[in-house]
Amino acid sequence: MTPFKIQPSPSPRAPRFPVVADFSAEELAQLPYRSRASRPLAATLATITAGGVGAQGLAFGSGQGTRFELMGDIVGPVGPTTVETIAPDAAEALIRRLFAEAGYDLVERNTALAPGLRAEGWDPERGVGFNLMSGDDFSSERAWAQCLERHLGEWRHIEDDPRDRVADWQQKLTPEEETEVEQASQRAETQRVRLADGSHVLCFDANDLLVREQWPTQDPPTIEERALALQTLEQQVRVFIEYLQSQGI
Amino acid sequence: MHLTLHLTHACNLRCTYCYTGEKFPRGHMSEKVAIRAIDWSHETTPPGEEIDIVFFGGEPLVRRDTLERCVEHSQRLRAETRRPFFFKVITNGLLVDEAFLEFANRHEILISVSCDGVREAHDASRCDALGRGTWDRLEPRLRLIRRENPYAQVTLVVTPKSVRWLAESVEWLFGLRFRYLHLQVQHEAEWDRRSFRELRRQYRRLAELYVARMRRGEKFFLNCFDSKIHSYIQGETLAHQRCSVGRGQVSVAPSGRMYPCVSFVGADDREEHRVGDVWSGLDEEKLAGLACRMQRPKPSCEGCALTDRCSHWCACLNMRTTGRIDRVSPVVCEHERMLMPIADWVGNTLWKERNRLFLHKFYNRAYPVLSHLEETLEHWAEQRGISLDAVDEAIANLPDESVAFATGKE
Repeated sequence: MTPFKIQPSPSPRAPRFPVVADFSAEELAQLPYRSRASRPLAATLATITAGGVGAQGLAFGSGQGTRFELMGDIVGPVGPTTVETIAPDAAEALIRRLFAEAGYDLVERNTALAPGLRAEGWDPERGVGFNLMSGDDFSSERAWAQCLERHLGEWRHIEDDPRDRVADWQQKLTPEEETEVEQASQRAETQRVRLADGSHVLCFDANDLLVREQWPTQDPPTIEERALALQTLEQQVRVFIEYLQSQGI
Repeated sequence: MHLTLHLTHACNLRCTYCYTGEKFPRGHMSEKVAIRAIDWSHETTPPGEEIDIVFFGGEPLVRRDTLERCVEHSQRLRAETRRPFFFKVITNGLLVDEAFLEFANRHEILISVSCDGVREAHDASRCDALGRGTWDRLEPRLRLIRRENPYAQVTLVVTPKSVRWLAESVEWLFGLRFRYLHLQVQHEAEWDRRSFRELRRQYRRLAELYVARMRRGEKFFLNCFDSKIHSYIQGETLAHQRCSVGRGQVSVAPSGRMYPCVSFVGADDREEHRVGDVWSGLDEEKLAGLACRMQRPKPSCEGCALTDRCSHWCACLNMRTTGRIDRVSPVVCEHERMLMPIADWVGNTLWKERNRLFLHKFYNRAYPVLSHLEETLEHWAEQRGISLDAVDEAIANLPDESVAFATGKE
């Protein structure tokens, strides 16, 4: 005799990942797909699932959710391997060197490119830069900033404030705004930003730049893995720079 | 059309949970019946539509000669009519050898091996006719199968006796580089609260293992979570692909009698479940009656919001657990309510991280094509000692049209 009974669940907690019907074909195509052996192929597919060539958006960068719309065309593939084996400092140094070699002068840190978007290194003359923010953080932070703007009358960059102040701010949010922030952190389309002034920023996902020791479930990276990761990162930056140069920037 | 041929009732094993009925030493399917079954499916399936032939038993490799004749016959039909045929063999693995693997690779036969995992789990139920465990004999063959066939699947039956080794078993099989694992909980077993608590604990361990592998970008299929996540993401779309009791799927017993699905065949002695035979075709009236019973709303599930994602619609499962296709077992209900939140935790975690493999696997409709392409090239390169970088480059340089074509043919 079984001890179990049939118990209908009238109101289960719904999952937080979206159903496929939540996306338009274009949005689906812009999700940062990845296949292990070939991200370029995944990028190619993105154009196909959107219904053909001409799909808007660009999947570019190395991080989860790192994607950036530049000119409305797909100009580069997602990078070939993860770079989560590189320490952020090493990554940043490499990026700065490559930009410098190409003649860009990343002298500034620009924290007000757009709500929620900043550049770690910024060339003010040519409107080019990079950041190391995670796409996920970016989207939720942008939604945060918009909510806070309503309450405080000013736009603030959350990461620039101490954590206890952030907690204070959080209490000011209405339940609807909390939902808005939560949804923003979960939906890919909120990560898409088009800079109206034509500026270009290369976004890297900070999550991917963590050294692997910080993941409790993973072994430390090997020397070969680090080398491969740096090589990949370098390749991605070069593709970005080539694109900029092809646009005369 | 899915055509399952039970090539024989005979089997070299005596697994304690087997639902395929008594093992008759001479209950084989004749070549004449097997060929007729294929011809029947060919005649009744619209031109150009694919036919999936599954070789089942007993142990189908006991009748390897019949299996080979079936494949050759289907290939001839394919050549003559351009109808696509796909093959799968569900085997206990003990009779697999290099010659069969070569045949399977030549004819693109998908191999599904039954193995319950580590020795303790496997030998708890999967014994030979003398009651001896079979893990020692299977293990080297598993390695051989994986080496020769990267797409091979493994089916693990989970019972109250084996549940405590579940996560360990899955890890072990991943360690052997099997990527397609299918867990099949033996719902009809004597599950109690304690063994279910253990099952929950094991599912949670598996959930962590799943997330860790996805974070490392390691591709795999684990049905317990994949199917539940998929059932939510695809929603209505998936609901239409579910069991339709004998529609588009039929199991043929060695005698040539037809049944709606594998669990109904048993010892081929239940007249009420027989829906035809290979000579006179399907009994449409009987099929319609079965479908009607199956599709009727189940009063026990009234008001449940999980019905779209639940396995209560599986006639085979209901048959095995309650003896009726339209009655749901409380064990199934308990299991579904336990599994879904764990699967959702996996999905929520990976979605929050925007894990690329997760997005690729569940939202990219071309994923099966891409994944197969990658594995084929990887296997090809591995066998020739070519580096995977070269494979990556080859895929990257594929013309867009070829990918579009492959996607269209998904």
